[in-house]
Amino acid sequence: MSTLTSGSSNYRIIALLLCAAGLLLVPWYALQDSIWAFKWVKSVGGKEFAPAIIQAITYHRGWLWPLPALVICAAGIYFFKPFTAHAAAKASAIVGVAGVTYLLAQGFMVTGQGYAFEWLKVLFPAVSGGQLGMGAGALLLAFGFVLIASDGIAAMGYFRGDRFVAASLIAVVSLVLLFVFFPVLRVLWAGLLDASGNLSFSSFWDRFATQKIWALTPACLWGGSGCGVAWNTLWLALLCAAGTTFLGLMLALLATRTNVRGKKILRLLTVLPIVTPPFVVGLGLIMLFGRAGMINSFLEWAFGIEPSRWIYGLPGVLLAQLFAFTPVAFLVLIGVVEGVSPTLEEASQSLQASRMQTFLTVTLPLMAPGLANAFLVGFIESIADFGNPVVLGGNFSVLSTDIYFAIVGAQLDQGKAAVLSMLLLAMALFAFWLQQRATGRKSFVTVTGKGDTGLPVPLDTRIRFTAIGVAVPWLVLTVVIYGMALVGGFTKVWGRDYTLTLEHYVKAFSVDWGQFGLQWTGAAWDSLFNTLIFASVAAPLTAIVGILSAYLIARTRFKGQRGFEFLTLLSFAIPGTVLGVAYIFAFNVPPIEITGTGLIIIICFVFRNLPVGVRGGIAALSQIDKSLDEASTTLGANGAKTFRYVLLPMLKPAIVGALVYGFVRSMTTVSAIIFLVSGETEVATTYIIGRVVNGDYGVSIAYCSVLIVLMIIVILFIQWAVGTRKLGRRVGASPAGTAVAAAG
Amino acid sequence: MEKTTKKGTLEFHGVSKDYGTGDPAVNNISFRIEDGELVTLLGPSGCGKTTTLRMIAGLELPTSGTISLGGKDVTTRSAAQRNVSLVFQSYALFPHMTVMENVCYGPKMQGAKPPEAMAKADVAMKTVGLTGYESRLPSELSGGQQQRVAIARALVLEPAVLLFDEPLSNLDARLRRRVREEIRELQQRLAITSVYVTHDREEALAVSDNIIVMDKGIIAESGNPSKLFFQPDSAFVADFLTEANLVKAEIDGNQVRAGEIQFTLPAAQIVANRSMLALRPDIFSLGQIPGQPTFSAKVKKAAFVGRGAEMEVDSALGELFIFLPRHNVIPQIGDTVQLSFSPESVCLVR
Repeated sequence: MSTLTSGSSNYRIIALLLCAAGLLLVPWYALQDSIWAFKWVKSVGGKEFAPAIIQAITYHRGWLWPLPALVICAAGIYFFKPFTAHAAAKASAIVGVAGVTYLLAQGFMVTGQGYAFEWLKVLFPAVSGGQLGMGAGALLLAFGFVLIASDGIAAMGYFRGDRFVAASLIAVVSLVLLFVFFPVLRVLWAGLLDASGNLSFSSFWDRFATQKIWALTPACLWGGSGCGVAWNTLWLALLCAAGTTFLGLMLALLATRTNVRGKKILRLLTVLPIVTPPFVVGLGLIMLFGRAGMINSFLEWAFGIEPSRWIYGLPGVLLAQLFAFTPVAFLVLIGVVEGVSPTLEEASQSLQASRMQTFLTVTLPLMAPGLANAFLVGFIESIADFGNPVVLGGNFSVLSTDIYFAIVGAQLDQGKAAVLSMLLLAMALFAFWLQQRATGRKSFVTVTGKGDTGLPVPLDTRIRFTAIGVAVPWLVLTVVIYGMALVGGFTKVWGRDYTLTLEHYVKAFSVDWGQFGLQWTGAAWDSLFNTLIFASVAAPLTAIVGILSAYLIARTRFKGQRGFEFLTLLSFAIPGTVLGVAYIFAFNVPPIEITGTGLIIIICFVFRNLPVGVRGGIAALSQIDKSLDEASTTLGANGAKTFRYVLLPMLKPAIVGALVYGFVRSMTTVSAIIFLVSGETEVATTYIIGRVVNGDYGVSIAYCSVLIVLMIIVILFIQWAVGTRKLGRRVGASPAGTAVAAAG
Repeated sequence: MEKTTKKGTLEFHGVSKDYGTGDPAVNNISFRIEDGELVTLLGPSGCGKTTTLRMIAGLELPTSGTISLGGKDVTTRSAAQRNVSLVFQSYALFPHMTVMENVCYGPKMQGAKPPEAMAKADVAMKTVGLTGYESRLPSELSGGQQQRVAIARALVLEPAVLLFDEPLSNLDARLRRRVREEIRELQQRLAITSVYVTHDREEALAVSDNIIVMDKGIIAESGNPSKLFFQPDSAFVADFLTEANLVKAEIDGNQVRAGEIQFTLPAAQIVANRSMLALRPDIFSLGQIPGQPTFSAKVKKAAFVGRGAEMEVDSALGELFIFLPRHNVIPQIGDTVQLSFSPESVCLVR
């Protein structure tokens, strides 16, 4: 240990400096303006701007005193060395953990109106007023405490004595608990409260056991109305999952097991759901089959047939989801089909099985876990989808849209939203759990390092033709739908007046050169800039937290590792709508009061997209032999240096994947943030949804096209940047490409 | 690189490693390795030899016991804090760094300035004879060259102890002997304390000053190669190292009776309270030889293997495995043959 003395004291000094800055220099509470505006520097003594020490002395916020006390304890342990090494380690760990815990606890106990709980008023002196949400000072102090705790925990011998690992773990766990676990619990809690905020199981039961949720009639299953929203959601999801799995399998077989010309186009399609805002397919379908769509207009013009409204409802939503999510199933199943070892099929053939028999008795059973996975992914995508139901649903309501209208609509029923969220979350978690079981069990996929030289058995003609018969119409319709979404922006009024025009683009994206220089006069600029800023801040954060978590899961050993992994992947299963509602419930009041800011949107992006970064990182790390880490360690590098010099350079493709994904998904997501945007922080997707709801299709479509083109440019640019980069000789299958996203 | 003057004496005192899954991987072992020695940890897979090596490296910390290096207790030091280098089985060369960057990695992590690190790396590269390959990527080298880089990278920090984890297992058969000799030659030239893990007995016999044979987490026996080969103490070592036939016998003074055979054991071979004979496959010869115990046996299997003939026979001593060097006439299966052996080559094992 003696060899580390100098590094050790640096680490401790940094920890203490962070604490000192958090307590003495930086405003303790969240500011109205951004901290970066530095208005607080001029009035640093003011009630809103003061750091914690001044808050405690001048403004009588006595509950803050334990914080500096703990920091002084830590400094005392470090400088006066009153204990033996082991006792000092333990003391440092206790001080750090106590610091983080008390920091949070005081925030929850003293809220905007003073003490949050009655028993506090009995035990402690009265407080005047309450406190605001925590700000930069609290953040710095929390970080300092994390460093102090990790120093102690590592010195006690945990994590192989590595402070970097200890600090990362504490930081990531606290963040995930705070921004995923806590909000979700907060929603569940809200569902159990009655209108006046008291715990009431009967009011929960009233909201839960209602006909609106559970009504079930035989007639309603086929598009008729009258079903409860829970059944609607479930039925739609089952149909969508079955459909996307079947379509995906056919496309995957076509792409990997046949020589059909043009099958490479199929692979391109896998990019579509990633770059498309989730409601684009819905828009395209309206333009094709809607009341004023091309088909209906033509039928009315040619045969005088009354326009039909069949597209608004279950059939339309289902159709839109099939188009939107089949590429995801395709992506999953390509890997599954390629994972089936050709040797096994050759063995079957050599035992006199026909192609069809081989497919049915060997290939298909081997793919069963993969198919189950694709099915469940389709299911999760469907129940989480918000964009398509809101555009096409009409009277057909699902949980995600009902939650939205409960919060945003005239009813403003938070209790109802909470109960519906609970239900949706339960469905999603159940499917997620099943999916983890399907993929977690010893899978049959037989990719080994050894050369597998066999040739896949050609498909039976019947399957081949089914696949082609499915794929061609699907492809044609996809192209038509997306094409329409692109062309539609250039026509005056779709369905009425097909005159070509640029007016929608002008309206959204015009610029003027006026007396103040360049003026972004178009209506869409603000939201577009917001989107770009939020996405480009969120993407690197997603990559950092994701890769760090992956490192902790794949490369270190600690108790509760499985639980930690589950926690980081959890937000994959949480439907966006639920997470959005949860953020409103959780972060609308101190200690963390960030609703209406850009910060909450960025945080939401980061934790929504985190699982993809984690999975990509784990996949990439599992390709890097552990002996490389050990080699680095035996050569004298600690955890942080090994991570920096050995792992990070080899993880570049995974990092780039996480960056692209984080960026692009942030730009296309709707469901989670539709609750979180304010007038100032409006983003592209919410702007477009607003336009669609107002029936202003022209601008929406034009905006969608711009977004899609923008994102394709971003992806191509990053792929070009990665592609020309020399990355050694490793097989670098882009891990992010194989990870699958939940929709919405 | 100058001859190292550091004390490379390595000691294990009652060291155990328990992963909490069934029996401990290493169970209360103690040994001492002198400075400048090459000691091999030999044993079948799962015997605990790799775990032992990793504990020397600091990649695993023992559950109990102490490890000392150069007289200092290093039991709880992490790998980064021990003056020990490991040549990995897979070489573990960083694929994104050139050969030079790989070899410089250690000095840089220790805080050396680039010129200083380069100078040290140059010396190490010269030591392994790879000068001129500095700017290649590991993937552009042959297996043997990669291994030399791995050794250079391990040598560059002038470690007190150099560890080899099955260093020949990734090389093809023809290269093995040469690399084996190079490693031994280098080790003797630098007089660097080395610990070498392998499951290949010929390799162990060829490179070692001493061999520690491990079995099920404990040390079965240790000693120099010829002692272990010719005079093993344990039945396990006799079997593992020489495929010796283990035969129960009754021993009375220097008189040995096994089955219907009786013979006199030379005084040097006698150990008290033993009742198990180890008969190496190569001590037998065909036909009756005067002065040697002889018995008849029925041939069950026979094969010509180039350097000689291998047989499995049924006899009064039980089933025996026999190797007849330089025999190209193989007895037929079902034949009855006369076999004799010299009592000087028989050991009593426990």
